[in-house]
Amino acid sequence: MMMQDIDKLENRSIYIMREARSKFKNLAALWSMGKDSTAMLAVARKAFFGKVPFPVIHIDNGIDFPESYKFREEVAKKWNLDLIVAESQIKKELSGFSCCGANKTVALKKLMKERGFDALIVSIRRDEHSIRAKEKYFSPRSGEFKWNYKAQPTEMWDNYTSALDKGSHMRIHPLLDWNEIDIWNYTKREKIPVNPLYYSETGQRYRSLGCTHCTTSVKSNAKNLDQIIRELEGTKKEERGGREQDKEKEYIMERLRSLGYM
Amino acid sequence: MKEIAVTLLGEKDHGKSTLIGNMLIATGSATKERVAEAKRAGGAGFEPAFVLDSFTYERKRGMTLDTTRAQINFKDAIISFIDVPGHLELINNALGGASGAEIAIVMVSAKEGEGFQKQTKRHIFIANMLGMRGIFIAVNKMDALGYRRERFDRIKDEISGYMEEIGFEGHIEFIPVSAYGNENIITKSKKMGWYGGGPLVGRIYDFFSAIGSAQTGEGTRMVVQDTMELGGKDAAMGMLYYGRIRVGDRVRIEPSGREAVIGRIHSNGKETKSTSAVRNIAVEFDGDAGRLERGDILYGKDERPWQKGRFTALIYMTGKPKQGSGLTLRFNNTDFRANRLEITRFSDATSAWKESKAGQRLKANTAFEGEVTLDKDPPVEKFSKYRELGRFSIYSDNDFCGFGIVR
Ligand SMILES: Nc1nc2c(ncn2[C@@H]2O[C@H](COP(=O)(O)OP(=O)(O)O)[C@@H](O)[C@H]2O)c(=O)[nH]1
Repeated sequence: MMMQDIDKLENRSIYIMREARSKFKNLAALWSMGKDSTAMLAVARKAFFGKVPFPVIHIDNGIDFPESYKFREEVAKKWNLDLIVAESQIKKELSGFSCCGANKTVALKKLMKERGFDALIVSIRRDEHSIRAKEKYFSPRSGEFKWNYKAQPTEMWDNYTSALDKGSHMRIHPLLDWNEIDIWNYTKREKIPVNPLYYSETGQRYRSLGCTHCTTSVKSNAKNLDQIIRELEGTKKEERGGREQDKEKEYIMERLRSLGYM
Repeated sequence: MKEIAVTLLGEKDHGKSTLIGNMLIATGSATKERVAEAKRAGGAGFEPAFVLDSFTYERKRGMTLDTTRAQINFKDAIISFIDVPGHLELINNALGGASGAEIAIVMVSAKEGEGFQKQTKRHIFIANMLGMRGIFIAVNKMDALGYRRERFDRIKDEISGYMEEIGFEGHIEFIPVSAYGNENIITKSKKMGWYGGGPLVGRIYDFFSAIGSAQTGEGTRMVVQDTMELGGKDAAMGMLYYGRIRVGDRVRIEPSGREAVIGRIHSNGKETKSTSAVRNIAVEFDGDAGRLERGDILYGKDERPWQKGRFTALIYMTGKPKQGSGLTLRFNNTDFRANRLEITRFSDATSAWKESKAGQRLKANTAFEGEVTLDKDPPVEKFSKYRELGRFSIYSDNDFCGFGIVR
């Protein structure tokens, strides 16, 4: 796995977040308590003099891991976060992506409307999934959350678009350039709190976190950050391998739908 | 770890995806799962490019999304290909990646009926304008010509002639390759003994190692991005692109020309006495520095901007501006309107420059040189010296329609 210069990455992310705060009146960020969005909050604290200057949203379907809830309370308190918990429903008849995807989307749409957020910071990385490689730093989404993939704004020389059509909002991706291993190197260097689910206790750990219904663990003996980093240096496996296959398919189908392909 | 940002240009079907696919496989940079999955999906019709394509669904439906990113591990370097253009011929897709790259690979298929085409000329023209430090012309599909050198030489002559016509002064190399057969890509091909140089990736690595990614400008330049209240006073946040700032330094705030003294510096989340480029920092001033605005630039106190609000520019239009809506020039995410544009010469980006006639209009796929007057007087610098302060993207009614550099 390819390790990049984390100072450079951090600088770019700070630039993007400062740009987001400057361009949008009502900015918020999504926080899943996972490694990426937690690292994003750590960068935000650096960008804004120790304080995260925007509300942080957890879309909670009530079936996240107990460890995650505990982690949420600890970090929110430690970093003095303006935390918004948006309750999302679980529907029995749905599973996989339609369960944690569709329902979370409904909850988020409702919240966005109520609070009038015009921009959302989302901690996706290009190396996470090949569909992500096509993302931009500032990416407009329609009121229906559609990603008009074909008409993406050209981002030359870090000049981003901030123009929005009525009812739409901007997705901002400050971690787009980071790789999985960079996140861990940064987490280690900056001593960022880590959700304990990433560590192995009984020969298994999580590489990527969803809710209890669709996340599965991977074989691993990594019990601390150094061991995670060492493990990733040698890995030839995809990060999302820990998610169930059929659910991974649904995920892709859902992305394609949002691209307007089906 | 070296990081080399490369843009891959060239006409559709000349072999760009094949090249990246094979590089990913040959350097072990793609996960085994990905390669196996691509082979399974491709079956007998497997192509190296499948490794690059997003996923099975995309391929099965014959949909190819437009851009992607790939990273190749080579020696102690990561070679990043950003926004590799796919099958869409719109240049807009390639510009994001190309603008962040220092090196360009231009694929030109030597196969009969393919060769040096109009679109490729445009790509080279743009790569030249973007100030690429090196352009590597990969003359591809040499296998289809029995690896003979005649057509390679002819294409090399053609391209060299064109480069001269458009006034290219940078570094250029020609490398005969077979992207499909992996010849002269990672290792030197034994099938083209007549070619004395190294393989494509090795040449890029050596060239980059020799030049480094050096900054060219002297002095201090910090572009103000935003302000934030800290302890009752405004701190200015922004990119320190050039030079060094220390507590106690007297700086000049352009365009107003006011002077101020640096009181405190925040860099990467910590307070510090001194910091250097390139970094996104924040500064507080001693005493009253007056109001700072987005787009202001801090200079060393004895330094002056090259121009303010009026300058000679080279612009490239990718689209036609909307009737009656004028042009917006975006410098470091700050917008200015172009009040006047006096064009002196133009080129269709496939042939030499021509003197412009009176009343010359802007049109797509055309480059223009002329005098720009903005609605305000922001400081600008020559692109050749201070890249980040001498470049802009162009919008018409919020739609991207071109880009430009300060001469
Ligand atoms: N003979 C030959 N064919 C090639 C070579 N490289 C690519 N091709 C073929 O040219 C076609 C277009 O290649 P592709 O990589 O998709 O081009 P792109 O549109 O520039 O990305 C495919 O059918 C490839 O198999 C090569 O080195 N030799």
